[in-house]
Amino acid sequence: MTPLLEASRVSVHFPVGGGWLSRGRRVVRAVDDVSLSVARGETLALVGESGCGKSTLGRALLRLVEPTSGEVRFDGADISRLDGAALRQLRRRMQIVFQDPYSSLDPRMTVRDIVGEGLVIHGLARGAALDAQVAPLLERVGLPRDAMGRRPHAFSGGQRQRIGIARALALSPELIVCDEPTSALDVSVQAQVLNLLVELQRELGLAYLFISHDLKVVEHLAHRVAVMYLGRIVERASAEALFARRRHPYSDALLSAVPVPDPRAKRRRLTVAGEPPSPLSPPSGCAFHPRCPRAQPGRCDVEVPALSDEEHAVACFFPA
Amino acid sequence: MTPRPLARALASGRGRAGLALLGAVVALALVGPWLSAYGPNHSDFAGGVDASGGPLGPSAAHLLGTDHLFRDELCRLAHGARFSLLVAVSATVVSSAIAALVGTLAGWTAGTRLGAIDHAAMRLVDVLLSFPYLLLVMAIGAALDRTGALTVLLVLGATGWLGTARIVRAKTMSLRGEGYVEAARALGGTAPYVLRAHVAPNVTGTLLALSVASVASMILAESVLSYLAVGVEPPTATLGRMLQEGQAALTVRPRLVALPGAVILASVVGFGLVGEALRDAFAAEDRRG
Repeated sequence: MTPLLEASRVSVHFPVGGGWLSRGRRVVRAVDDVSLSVARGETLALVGESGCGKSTLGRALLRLVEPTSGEVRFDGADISRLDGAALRQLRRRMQIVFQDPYSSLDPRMTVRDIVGEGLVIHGLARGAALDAQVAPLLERVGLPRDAMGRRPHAFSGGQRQRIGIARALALSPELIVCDEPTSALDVSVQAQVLNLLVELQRELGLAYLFISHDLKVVEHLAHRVAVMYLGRIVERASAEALFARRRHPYSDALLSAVPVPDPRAKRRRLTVAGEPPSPLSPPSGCAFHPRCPRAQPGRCDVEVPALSDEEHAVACFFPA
Repeated sequence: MTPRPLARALASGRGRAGLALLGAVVALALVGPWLSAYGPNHSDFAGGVDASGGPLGPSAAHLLGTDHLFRDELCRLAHGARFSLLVAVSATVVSSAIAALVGTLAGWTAGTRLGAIDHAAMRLVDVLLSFPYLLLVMAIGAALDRTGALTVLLVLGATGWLGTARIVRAKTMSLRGEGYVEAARALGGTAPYVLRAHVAPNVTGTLLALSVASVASMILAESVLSYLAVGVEPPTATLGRMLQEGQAALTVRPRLVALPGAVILASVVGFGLVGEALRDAFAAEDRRG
């Protein structure tokens, strides 16, 4: 079966600096040569620290950011060169839920207009018909009926995130990119929103590309996990396999940084030395080598390791 | 666009004070001419001269006295206020329309493939702003030869949009980065849709506040033009010209300067206060958002 979403060798490069008078434009390789796929009804988690390019990748797959190169196929069809009306039609099938529940809702619109925005844009409903379609969506995400006529400022962060989810659901998409949907919420509210996402997936058969830096959250709902470091995927496996065994030293360090809510628990701490390097001047060879405990001079600082072709794929010369 | 911040602004202390001042000026402009039996350009020599041989002071026939040409001061004041308000408000409508258009277009294209539009617009603004404002207005006024109300209006309108356009551009750029704009694009919204549904409503508050405040500077600019005699031609009554004409008799007839000065002051402060109240109310609305 063809995967719902398939990206092959996608790169997103941003030119930085260099006004029209200065020479020497430099390029940030936010996403570098990334391939991945998401099956129908599946959750692929994309994890990595801030600035590793995971959000940019999510947006590039939705064509909210233009990929510099590579190909994105949705339901078998190449979408990387669609534009105009065809692209807008495609947008009904893939949606996004944002990290920031404050900036993502227009303060001057009512909840009815926010949730129904997609329907209005595509000319699917208006007036009473719009109300009739928005009401069950609000109910579905657990918001009171009278939310309809109110404005976003009347709601808490968790409720706002539910509004954002309802907006994404309105067009009955098959894929939703969740860009850290819970990282701005209180821990107590995070679980509610995550459970809602899981329920929706079960009921509607949604596929999620779930972007997160919180591995606890990922463990809870991902089927497969891809670990990103500085624009590249360094490890990819089923969630089970990855949480049982990390093959890439970076994944190992990432996981050992998850706090354990038990003061007596003995923890094996694996710390990574130094700061994440600037994507403007990435290290030579394997981008992780300056911070890697297993790095071998002459190899890791010269060659770039490719992501292996295994079930539990890893991009490392000395995987565990 | 919600009326809520508008209502809140006008109900605030500054809003009320500003509205009271503007109400007084508007009342003068509307009712003033009826309180005088004479037209604004009618010289009333029938009443004779005062003890020092000059024009008459306040009397039952001329409530605020007469000016150096024996014209009724109240009537001229009312016509001057009417003229100033009309020109200032119309010029602001013109300049705000230009500012809204240029500002959103520049803000929308800044840093994109169409960034050249933004560059062109903003360099034009830079160049125009680098001229001393009055010199620019006077140069245009002089180039257009002696002028009527319409030219004054157009000159003010064509030069008054610069600062506002910059602010609208900045606001548009910041809106472009908002999550809901990205969400609208993800839902399939076209650029015109996003501009209409999200950018315009969120820029309107800022624009309204700036526009109201800019009426104040338009009144001032119009007065300055008249005072410098590059505004509309005599004998049309304008506040600036009355100021200039009264100046010669400042020591003996201070009211001929004080009265038009007071009307200018009241309008400028009034529009300024209302503009500030609007600005604060819309800023509070943004924070609540």
